[in-house]
Amino acid sequence: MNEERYLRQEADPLTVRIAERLGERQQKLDRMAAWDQSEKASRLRPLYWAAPLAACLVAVVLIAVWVKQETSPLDELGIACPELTEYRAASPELDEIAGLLQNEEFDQALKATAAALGESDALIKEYSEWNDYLGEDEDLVYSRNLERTVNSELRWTYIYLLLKKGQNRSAKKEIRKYLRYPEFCEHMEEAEQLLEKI
Amino acid sequence: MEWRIGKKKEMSDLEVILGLQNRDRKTEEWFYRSAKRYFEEHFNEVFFDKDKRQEIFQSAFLKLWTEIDNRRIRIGKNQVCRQQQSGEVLPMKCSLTTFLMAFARTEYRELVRNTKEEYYDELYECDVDWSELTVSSIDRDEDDEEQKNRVVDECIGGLSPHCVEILTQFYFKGLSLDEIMTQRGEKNASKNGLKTAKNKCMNTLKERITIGFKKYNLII
Repeated sequence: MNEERYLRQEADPLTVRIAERLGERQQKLDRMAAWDQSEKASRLRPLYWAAPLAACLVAVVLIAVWVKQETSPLDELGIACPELTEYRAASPELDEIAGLLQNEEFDQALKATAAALGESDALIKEYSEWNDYLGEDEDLVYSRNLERTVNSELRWTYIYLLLKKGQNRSAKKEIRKYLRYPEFCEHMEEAEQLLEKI
Repeated sequence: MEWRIGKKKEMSDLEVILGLQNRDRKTEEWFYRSAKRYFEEHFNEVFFDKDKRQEIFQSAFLKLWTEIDNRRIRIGKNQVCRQQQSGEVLPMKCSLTTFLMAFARTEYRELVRNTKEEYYDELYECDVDWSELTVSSIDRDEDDEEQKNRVVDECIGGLSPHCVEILTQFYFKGLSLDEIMTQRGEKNASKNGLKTAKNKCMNTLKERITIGFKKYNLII
């Protein structure tokens, strides 16, 4: 197919001149476009490294937050799950709680412990009122101390389960309550370490 | 007038003109960027949108650059001069930026009216101290070739963008009509239509150039 094309050698001088001037014009336009392009690129250049850097920083922060959340103070301090073996016979509730802990049913265990702890707190309060009313009675003192021992262990279990569920603030409150009666605290050292950690 | 980037002095108009006429690439790029910055800071008229503004700047800058390149704007006796339509070369008190903005205003009006203006002597409405003018007839030392190029450039500038595009593709890029049709898509329905358009544009251009040449007593 014979296509019509401009052939310089066959063109008249005016056409040649026109072609040359059109070329000059186009070359200027091409250069202007190239300068605009390089200006755009230089404006975007900071983004090429800033954007990935920002993304990395965000990722690092998110990972750090996640890691912090994932790492429980219990794991960090190597605090073992309470077993309540010595107290299982004390009441059916404690036996139930011990069973739930053994099966790692921590949500159920938390509910049961909270309920048992509430009852224990109420009982200790009653003992104290009787003491005020009746004076120091040997049996009464023994019962109260026994209950305080159970209460302390229950509270420790409660603290453990709150930390397991990530409820650190509530756990901190309970630790302070726990440490109010140091003579009954079997896990005093661990409790103090936890208080510092949380 | 000195071209500045920020407050820093860079190049004078004389330096810019010399650099462009010597085809110094660094001066070309610097001039373009400075002019663009100046334009964006100082053009206050209402533009249609950002694309039109860019189009106006590009056309105005191209015109200014072409006039410097083909020595219509030149240095004479250590000052910036410009050749009028009459052929007289007059020193100008206007700066290159004034030229740029004047060209831009012309482009803007042409866009609004969709017509092409052919005469730019209105640029002489800027501050010209007539008493100091060295009025002369056509500069006889001037190269005829340069004058011919000027006439051709001006006539090309007076064509519609449609015509310039077709002629550039055919005569500068060396594309065939088929290839131009492929590039332009649906703009010309048939090859014959494109051929007719190309021929018409070229004939119009040549007619105008012939008139221009006659005006300056130039031989084709």
